[in-house]
Amino acid sequence: MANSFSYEAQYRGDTWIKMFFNIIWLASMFLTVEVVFRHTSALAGWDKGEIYLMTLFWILADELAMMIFGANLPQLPDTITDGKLDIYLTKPMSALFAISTKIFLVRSLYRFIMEIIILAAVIWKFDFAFNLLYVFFSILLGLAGIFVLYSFTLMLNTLAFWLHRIDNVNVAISVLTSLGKYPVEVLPRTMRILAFTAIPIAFTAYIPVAALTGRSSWHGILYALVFAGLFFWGAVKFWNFALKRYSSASS
Amino acid sequence: MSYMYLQLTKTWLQRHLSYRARVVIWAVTDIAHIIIFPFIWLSVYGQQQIIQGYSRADIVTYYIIIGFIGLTATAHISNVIRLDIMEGALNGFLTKPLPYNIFRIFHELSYKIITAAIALVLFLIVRLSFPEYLIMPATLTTWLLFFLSLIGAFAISYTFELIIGFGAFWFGETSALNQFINLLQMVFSGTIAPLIFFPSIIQQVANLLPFKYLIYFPVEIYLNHLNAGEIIAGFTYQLIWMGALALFVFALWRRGLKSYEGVGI
Repeated sequence: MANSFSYEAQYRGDTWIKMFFNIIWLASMFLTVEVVFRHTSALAGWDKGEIYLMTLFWILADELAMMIFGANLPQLPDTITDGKLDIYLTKPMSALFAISTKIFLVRSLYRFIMEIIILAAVIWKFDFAFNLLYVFFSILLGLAGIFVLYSFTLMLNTLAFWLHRIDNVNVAISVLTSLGKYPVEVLPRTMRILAFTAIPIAFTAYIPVAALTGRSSWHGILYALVFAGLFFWGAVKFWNFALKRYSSASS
Repeated sequence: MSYMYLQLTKTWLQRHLSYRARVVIWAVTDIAHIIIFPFIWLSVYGQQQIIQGYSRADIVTYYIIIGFIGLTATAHISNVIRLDIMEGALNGFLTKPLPYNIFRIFHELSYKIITAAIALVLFLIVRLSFPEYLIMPATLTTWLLFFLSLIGAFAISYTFELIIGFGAFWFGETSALNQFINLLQMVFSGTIAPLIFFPSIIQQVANLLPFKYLIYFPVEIYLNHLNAGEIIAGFTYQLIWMGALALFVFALWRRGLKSYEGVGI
């Protein structure tokens, strides 16, 4: 952590440039919401304020993921293909934990704080009043969503043990998960099922915001929590299974 | 000479195909980022038949054609160029008898042969599965104009990629520049929605920038939304932007080579 802060301080010019681009990126997302709501008053039963909430929940989940493992897991395909996994395997700690948490991205922490402020502004602007129990479940489900995102990223990156140079899978993950900032109800039935199972894009924003706005049933909340646990367990099992294929520099 | 280019294409093709998973992943990525928009707009349409001159079939076709353009006329070479410069691999190319840009354009074109094949197969599948949602141009002239506009779109996209890649001569890391240009492209090219759906101020800014000639202009031709005057004006602007960007790229390359030390950054 201390190393991460000193690295960031060393390249603070770059950090500020990226903060500036992040603001433009946020503006482009809000512009998308504005363009859609120029032509309708509700999107699949969600009003503009709720869509803003969903967008911000997705942004916050993505930022947290970026902060904790976003700079690490994408290195996995190259680490495997180049035979550099040995460094982690010989350490007296879990190799998966070491790989996943090697770099803590401090600039994401700055952005996270900024995005929390924007979330507060949105809540104030749209005059939301939330039930405290719903807020609790929403935060819990948001954290479960981070676990799902981690597991999904890990599973796809683990495929590098077989497919080798697939570092671009992380661009695909980023694009796919970004679809999670829209209400799942707009999708056709097959894609909706995928969003709750094999391509779990509903977990980072849709499910937490559905809970926050009182749309979730008890069994829905339970499903999300159990799914997050099982998906994480499955991802770790898959990693352990794949690790047996690793043959160091000759991979 | 043509034999040499043929060999170059074959070599790059073999190289791309040796990492087939990468190609498939890029194809999925190119399509995935717009896959949700038709469903969002269909939900917005509800009982309405037309929004801003776009029927329900028009709006779905709009995004399918964006996917097609993404696979056939969008370049992805900037990162390769950045690495050539940062790791000093450019040295090897500079000593070869062909210009570096020729190597890289054949690298990209050979890749487009593969992704265009994927695009054609997907296009046929969508057309056969959902004929009511994929409108086909009524005349051969529209097809021809569409393909001409795709060539222009590819040229502009490729020059943007060169600009980002050559940025590595000065900045080394170009991810911020890449993100910035991609963001501008996303908003002003019409990727999010047809530009006519945006507030007029955004439309006016888009008219001053080259990005609409990457997506919006070709799709509008495909959908037969433009009259003869608008098509001529569109192609003229596309040509002007191609020329201006090519000159800029040429200047960047010359200046960049002067500051290049050949030892990697």
